[in-house]
Amino acid sequence: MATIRYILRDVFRLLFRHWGLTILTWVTMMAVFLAVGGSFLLTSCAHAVVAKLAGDLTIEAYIAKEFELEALKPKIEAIPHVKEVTLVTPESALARLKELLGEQAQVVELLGENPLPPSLVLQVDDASNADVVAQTLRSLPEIEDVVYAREAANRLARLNAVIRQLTIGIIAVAIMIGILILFNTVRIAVYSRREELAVMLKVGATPTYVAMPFLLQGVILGGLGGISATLILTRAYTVFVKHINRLLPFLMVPEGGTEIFIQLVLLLVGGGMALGWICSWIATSRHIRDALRPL
Amino acid sequence: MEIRISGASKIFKPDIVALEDIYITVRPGEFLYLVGPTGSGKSTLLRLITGEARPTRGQITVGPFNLRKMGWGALSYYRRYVGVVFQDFKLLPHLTAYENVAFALEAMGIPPKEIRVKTGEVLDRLGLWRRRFLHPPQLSGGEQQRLAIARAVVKSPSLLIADEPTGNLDANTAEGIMDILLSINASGTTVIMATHNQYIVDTYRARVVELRMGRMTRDEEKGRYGSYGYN
Ligand SMILES: Nc1ncnc2c1ncn2[C@@H]1O[C@H](COP(=O)(O)OP(=O)(O)OP(=O)(O)O)[C@@H](O)[C@H]1O
Ligand SMILES: [Mg+2]
Repeated sequence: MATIRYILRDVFRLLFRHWGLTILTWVTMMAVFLAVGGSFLLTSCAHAVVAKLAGDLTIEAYIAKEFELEALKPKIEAIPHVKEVTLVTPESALARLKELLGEQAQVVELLGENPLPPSLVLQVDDASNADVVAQTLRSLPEIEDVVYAREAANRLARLNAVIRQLTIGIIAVAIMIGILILFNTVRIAVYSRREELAVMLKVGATPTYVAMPFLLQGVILGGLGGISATLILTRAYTVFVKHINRLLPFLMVPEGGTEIFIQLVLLLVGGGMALGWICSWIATSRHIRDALRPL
Repeated sequence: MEIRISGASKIFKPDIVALEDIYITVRPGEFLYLVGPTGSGKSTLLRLITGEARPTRGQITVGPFNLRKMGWGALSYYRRYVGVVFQDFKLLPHLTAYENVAFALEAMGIPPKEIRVKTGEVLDRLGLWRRRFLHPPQLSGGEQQRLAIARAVVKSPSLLIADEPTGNLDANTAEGIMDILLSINASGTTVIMATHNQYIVDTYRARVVELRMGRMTRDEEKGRYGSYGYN
């Protein structure tokens, strides 16, 4: 029990004696984890968007003006895998646009004549059939253009691969910087107390007792960096999602919730503490081994 | 704890024979002087006993501990029973005299209250209580010596190893330190002391083991310092 007290006291001594270094390490670790966490959020966002788009069952088909909407409907309904067809007249399309724009609806008035083409909104039975249905639609002379989410998703997925490569690179570099910084900080602390360390071992301190303050120093610094980065990221993510969902609502970026928060905590705080422990262990163990090695 | 050294040799790389074929048995509670010219292997023998060095050949056991094959954990545990006064003191300059003694007890996990009592007692006994807030560099040579002894004896060790604890001290201070070592010995602690102090050995008579060029040349109860030329 007393031992735990002495160890904790030593940890705080280490942290406060080199307070400049402590703050520097903390801030650096925070930056490292901001990069890691930011990259993580970016990829998981992109994935969620792609998954959502890819799962969308809706296809919009724009009709050339000269064709009769009502006559077209049964023909479209006959296409395999089409479950439901809704007609959208230029008038109802305009109404929907106004509704979507809300306060800025007056902008539409400036357009004068309704520019929106009539369209069909159809639901397919399964997202994986969207491509086939879209192809069939495109081959019909009445259809001028086909827009569906899955096509965008396919293109986005290619972009995602690039994003993933990029984030893996960023995370690798960031973790490397983190390891170097943590290792160096603990090494400086060990080095400044190496004499004390050797004498402690000579008068009967166990290697664990001697190493523990340094290990905890690393864990605390890594953990602090992780915690502050998590707090900043969750806050920033909520704000970011709110903005982007207002500007580009069709992306439907997932709201940051407890799930994202838990993932970030596990990744950044857990990772930071583990990194701290490992770096400190490497920085400390050699000194202890040297001090204990008999002549 | 009984110390048994049988056939111990220590050869430093590449071929410095510091000790050769040493046989000594020290009974619990004994007081033993280790004498011999400089470079004869006294410090090396003491280091074998504290586990700072390992014999190249031979066996060393202290009580239940076999120093030949002892892991880190066992070594730290063993060192709690052994107080060591190093030839170069090994006091920590950035700690006060009080802290230098207290931290040895902290390393053993002793509760703060007990540490306060024991540290106070031992500093008082060694005449350092009024110097407790000073750092080692501010202490005189004799005071540093006594502080090194204080740190070694504060944990009430079964075995006290002292490497020239009266080196560089005037005769009076040396006698004061002998009084302390003898009273610790009287309380049951085995004491092994390497020394060059002829006056001390001839005055406070005890068992004398003499080393020359790494070999044991004498082992005498109530022995004398003897005489040897330095080479
Ligand atoms: N770590 C080491 N590496 C190599 N040689 C060593 C080492 N330690 C001691 N020696 C050698 O072993 C011999 C014995 O040294 P030791 O320190 O035991 O002598 P000593 O009897 O304590 O001398 P003194 O009375 O001067 O303290 C010396 O020749 C010394 O140079
Ligand atoms: Mg010596």
